[in-house]
Amino acid sequence: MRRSRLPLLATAAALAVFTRQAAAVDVANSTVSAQVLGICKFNSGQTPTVTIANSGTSINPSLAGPATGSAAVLYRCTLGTSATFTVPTPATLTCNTAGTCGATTMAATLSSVNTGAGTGFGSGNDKTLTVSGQLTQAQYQDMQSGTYAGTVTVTVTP
Amino acid sequence: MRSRPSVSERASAENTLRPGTASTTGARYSALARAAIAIAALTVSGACAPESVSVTLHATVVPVCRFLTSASTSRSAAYGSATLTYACSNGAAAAFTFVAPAATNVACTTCSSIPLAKGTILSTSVGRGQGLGSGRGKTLTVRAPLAHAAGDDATPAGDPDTIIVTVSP
Repeated sequence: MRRSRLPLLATAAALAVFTRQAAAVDVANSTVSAQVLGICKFNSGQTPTVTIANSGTSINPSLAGPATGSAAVLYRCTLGTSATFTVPTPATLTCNTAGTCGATTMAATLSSVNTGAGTGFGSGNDKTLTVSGQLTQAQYQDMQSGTYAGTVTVTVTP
Repeated sequence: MRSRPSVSERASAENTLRPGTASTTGARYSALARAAIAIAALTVSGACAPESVSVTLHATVVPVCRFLTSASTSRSAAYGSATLTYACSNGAAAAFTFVAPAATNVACTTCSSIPLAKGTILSTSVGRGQGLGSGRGKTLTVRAPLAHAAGDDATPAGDPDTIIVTVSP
């Protein structure tokens, strides 16, 4: 009795199809990586103002000792990242009261302290940079009365 | 009329769209890698840019005048005099007031109860203050009459010997 070859051929054809399909599957291993940068940023929307005074909010030129003032500037850094600040000094304050002090200037000495490395950018992780300004008695005692103002740009890295 | 694309052209076009083939997979990863590098470069460059904030500095110097020394006094038969040293802020003009003690026993009926011993400025340094630093002082001399003018209704207890001088601002 002669067996038909048809089933065998069908099976072989099916295997060929499956084999072709299996060969078409492409397996790729992809490496996923993420790098968290160590950065620092000042909080947005801040308008820090250092008011230098020796009596209330003003400078009384008849008083002894330096006139000082400070302002807090909030910043955040990546967890564990230490901030480096640049605070230019001295800072020039120019009289802007017309008719009293003209364009006279005073040079305030600036300094700063901060509360350390970052703890992240999430809420509640604010750190404080305190910028202080000082005018010595010798600097203000002979100055004309009036309002003096100036602006400095404080930077933080990284 | 557009000619029909050949078999090879169609195969080539399909390969560019069909996922999973070796050539397209490699090209895709290459493109993704380039994009990732570009994004990373942008991110890193942005992160390294120094963040800054403007800090405003403000100072108000108020005009003031101050006496620097106690008065040195002298007395003559008719007048008592006192010289005081004062200084004012640069550009500030001094204004003086003179007050006899409340318990003054000198009453000037002809001058509306103004004490006879009211001080009289004899001389001051001319001009406005030049500051409160060393060597900026000015002088004020006050003279008060010791004798009453004829007709004044002064008490017999004599003249006050103290005048309070104030300076402002």
